[in-house]
Amino acid sequence: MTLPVTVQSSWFNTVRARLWTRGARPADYALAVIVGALLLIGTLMIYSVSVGPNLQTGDADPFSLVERHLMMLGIGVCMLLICARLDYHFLQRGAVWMMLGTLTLLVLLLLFGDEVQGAKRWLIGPSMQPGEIAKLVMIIYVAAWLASKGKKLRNPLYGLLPFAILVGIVAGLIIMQPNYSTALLIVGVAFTMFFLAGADLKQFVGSAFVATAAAALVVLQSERAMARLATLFMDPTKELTDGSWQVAQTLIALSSGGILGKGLGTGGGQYGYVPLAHSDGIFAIWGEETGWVGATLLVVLFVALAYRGLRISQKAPDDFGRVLAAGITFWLTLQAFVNMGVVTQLIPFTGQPLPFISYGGSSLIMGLASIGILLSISRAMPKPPIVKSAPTVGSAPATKENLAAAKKNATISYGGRNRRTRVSARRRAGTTRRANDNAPDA
Amino acid sequence: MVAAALVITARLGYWQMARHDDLGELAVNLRERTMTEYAKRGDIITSDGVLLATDIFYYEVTAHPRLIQNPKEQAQVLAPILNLSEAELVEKLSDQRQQTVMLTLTAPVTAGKQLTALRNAGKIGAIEFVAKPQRRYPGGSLAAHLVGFTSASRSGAYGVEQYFDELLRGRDGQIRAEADALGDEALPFDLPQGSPALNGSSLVLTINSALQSIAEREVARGVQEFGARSGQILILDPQTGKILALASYPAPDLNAFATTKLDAYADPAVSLPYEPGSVFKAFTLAAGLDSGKISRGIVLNDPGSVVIGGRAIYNSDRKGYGNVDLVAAMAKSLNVIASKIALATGPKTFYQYLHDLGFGTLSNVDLAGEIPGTVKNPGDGIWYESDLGTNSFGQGIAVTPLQMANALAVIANGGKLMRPYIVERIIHPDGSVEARSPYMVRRVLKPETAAQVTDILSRSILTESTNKANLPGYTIAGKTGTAQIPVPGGYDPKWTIASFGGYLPADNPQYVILVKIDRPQKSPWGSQVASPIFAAVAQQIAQLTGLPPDDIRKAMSK
Repeated sequence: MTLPVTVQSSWFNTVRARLWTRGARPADYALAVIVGALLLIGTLMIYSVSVGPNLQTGDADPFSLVERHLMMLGIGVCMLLICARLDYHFLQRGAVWMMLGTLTLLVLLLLFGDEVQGAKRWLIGPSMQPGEIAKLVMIIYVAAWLASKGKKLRNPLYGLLPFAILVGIVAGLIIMQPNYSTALLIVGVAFTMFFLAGADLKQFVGSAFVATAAAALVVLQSERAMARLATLFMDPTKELTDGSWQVAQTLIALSSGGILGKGLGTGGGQYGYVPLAHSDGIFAIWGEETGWVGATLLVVLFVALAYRGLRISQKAPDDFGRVLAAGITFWLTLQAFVNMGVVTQLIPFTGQPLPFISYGGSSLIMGLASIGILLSISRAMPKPPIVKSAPTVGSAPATKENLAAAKKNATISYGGRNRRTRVSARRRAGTTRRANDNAPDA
Repeated sequence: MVAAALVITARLGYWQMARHDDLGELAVNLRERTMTEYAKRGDIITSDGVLLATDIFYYEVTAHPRLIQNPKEQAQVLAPILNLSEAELVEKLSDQRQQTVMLTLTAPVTAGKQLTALRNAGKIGAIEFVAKPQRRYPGGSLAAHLVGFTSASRSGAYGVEQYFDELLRGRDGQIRAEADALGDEALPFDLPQGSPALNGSSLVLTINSALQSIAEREVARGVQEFGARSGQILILDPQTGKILALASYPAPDLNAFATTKLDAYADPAVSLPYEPGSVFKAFTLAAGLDSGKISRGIVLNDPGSVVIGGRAIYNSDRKGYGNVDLVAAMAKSLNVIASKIALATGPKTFYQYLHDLGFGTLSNVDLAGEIPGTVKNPGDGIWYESDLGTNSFGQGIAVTPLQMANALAVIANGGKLMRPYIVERIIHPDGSVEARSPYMVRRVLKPETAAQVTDILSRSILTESTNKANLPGYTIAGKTGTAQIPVPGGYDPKWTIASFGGYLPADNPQYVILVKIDRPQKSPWGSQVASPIFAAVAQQIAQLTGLPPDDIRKAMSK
């Protein structure tokens, strides 16, 4: 995991020391394999939906979608490699600036964005979706913010109130596009991180109640959202009205796959039937071509991704890493399940792409960057302060001191540990895995 | 997380297993289109290769205005290809009330490639085009009655088009394939199922275009010259039964069937019976001679009238000619003598001969709409003894022109009733050729009888000074006819049907020609109206086919 270093100067070593992960553990290769599998499926599917007449784009060249996708994939993988190499703590330092930048983009979008199907979601032509960028930046910023609050988090004046304002501003800007589902996703992920970071349960339930009410108000005001909500409560395949046609076509494509599917590339849903077959609707085509077996495999892959992500969060050396990893993992998995829920008509029609599968540059690049961050966290060594808080090397006894420390510090509580402070496997094992672990990266 | 995953997996199972059958079927129903691949209807060609009927493919172009965002730009591109004005196209393409509008039925066949290229380039959208064949008749009204036409619903009507409809039609293909949401592009991996189109067979007629043109020109001239209502000329090959020309005037335009009364397309040669009049005496003569009831040398007495079954029969000029031989009887066209011959032959034998000659029954010609005509028979309840007399000179009997010409051919070919036919060869879509051969229905007359009748007829024509049927240098055999036209309660006092039926050369007949002119104004007589037309047709045939005059031909064959 070392880069060939040819230039050795003091400033270079300084920069490297600040940015590069120190004392790396091996990265979470299982996660990389899972994501690789998802990317492979995604590329195959984008090729499948773009063969033949592409009614969505009116493009006659069957390879144009795949070519653009592969280009974005290349950029995304570079982002992943860079993020994996970087010490993720630079994100903590740059979080404010990234947040400001994203807010600027969202404002610019409202002012100058291109309107597509009644919503402003694209900036600089169809090249950038600030909403997708906002998802990751918001998670980074929230993680940094929560990590910096420490024990003050439980005080509503320092914790919930500024947090709600912060989340509200970003969500508000996105609602104005309008893009309700992305706003809801961001609010959901942010509040979950807030809770995981050790916020008061009462505050959490209260704010969740308020957020739900607010969301309901927004939805009730939008005819489009209401119409979509209404489709959830009927069988759209029974009566093919204008409103239910899109939903029905998605379900028809999915169902016609059966248990084993029609075979890769042989689906018919992409030929103008399934709406957005190359992006939001791609799961339906996957279901048509590979059947229940393939669709379930994709669900399993995302569960596995969630499992690896939460493991990385558990093993993270500091609060920022823990909250960040959990946020990213929760975001990607939630978005995947939201997309699948839409396709299977479990939840109303919303425009969330399936991470790593759907066509879409911003979504793919940000998704890969976030995996890079997860890998970076997985490689990071525990920092000295954490070692200091538990001076005994070995199994951490559930002493009163330790419990108190756990209550003071923002820690991630997953439950199921009988309220003991969570302890990494290594510390429980009581040994360092490798003699060289603490040695600086040469 | 895991709970959510389980819920999704279960939900997937619901859709992909429990609902697979009904929704999978719905998918097939929604996505599958049955596209018709149109078969090309067979051509109809004369024996000398003139195209009488053919299918030309045109593109039928339709648009879905509600899916079109840029009607002006599309109209600009489409106008020159579809030969439509831009303004008209803009109006049609922006008609949002219509789901589908028809732009044109007759875009030229070259439009297909241009439209495909434009669609692939994304310049046009929501435009559908399909190649459909349309029937065209290059000859217009040439041989109109025998060809018939193909209706808008692609089925043959009248003539050969109707009779050979099944063969000509072929079979349209039904291509079942999944199509995209606009319904016009078969999916690339979905092999089309169903039956491909099978083109129809083409027909080569026995009709000779030059003879047909001669017949059409002469019948038109005859009808116009004598102020007649209509007319027909039939030319048959007596040896084989081939119909060489079958002309009727007036003739409708086959390309205008949509705006023409359908009656105009019924072929008078097979569908319109008439009372043949004195031409029929040739058959009375043949029946008498062949049955042995009269002999070639017989001399019969014509007192000016004869009573048969209580009814007096007179000659047309109400005169009596005394003792006459058969040649004179034919030359003067004596009704009394014809009646006497029929009387001598006896009703049973006489009507048996009429039947054997093909009267009163279908000739089974390969043309649509043939009727059998009406011949009364002893014992059928409507026949009276007096009918024997009137029938002997062609009254009280209804025949078709084709039956007349074909019965004349029996005498001409030495006594064989041939089945007349008009389709010589059938060219199947696989390239195989089915040749149709002449078919002898039965022997009717002994060859000697036929020769005797031909001899009498040719001599009678020569002795008849007023008959204009004679063609210098050629011996013809034939008989005029001037038939009254039956109306309810008797016969029309004014109108007649003037006809002449004959063949040449008399010693080795090649062409049977029947000329029939309906209701001529200038002269009612067959000898004045039909005979000169016969001569004109015969002369042109001789010129056209290089038939040498008799003396040269006989000298050459020695």
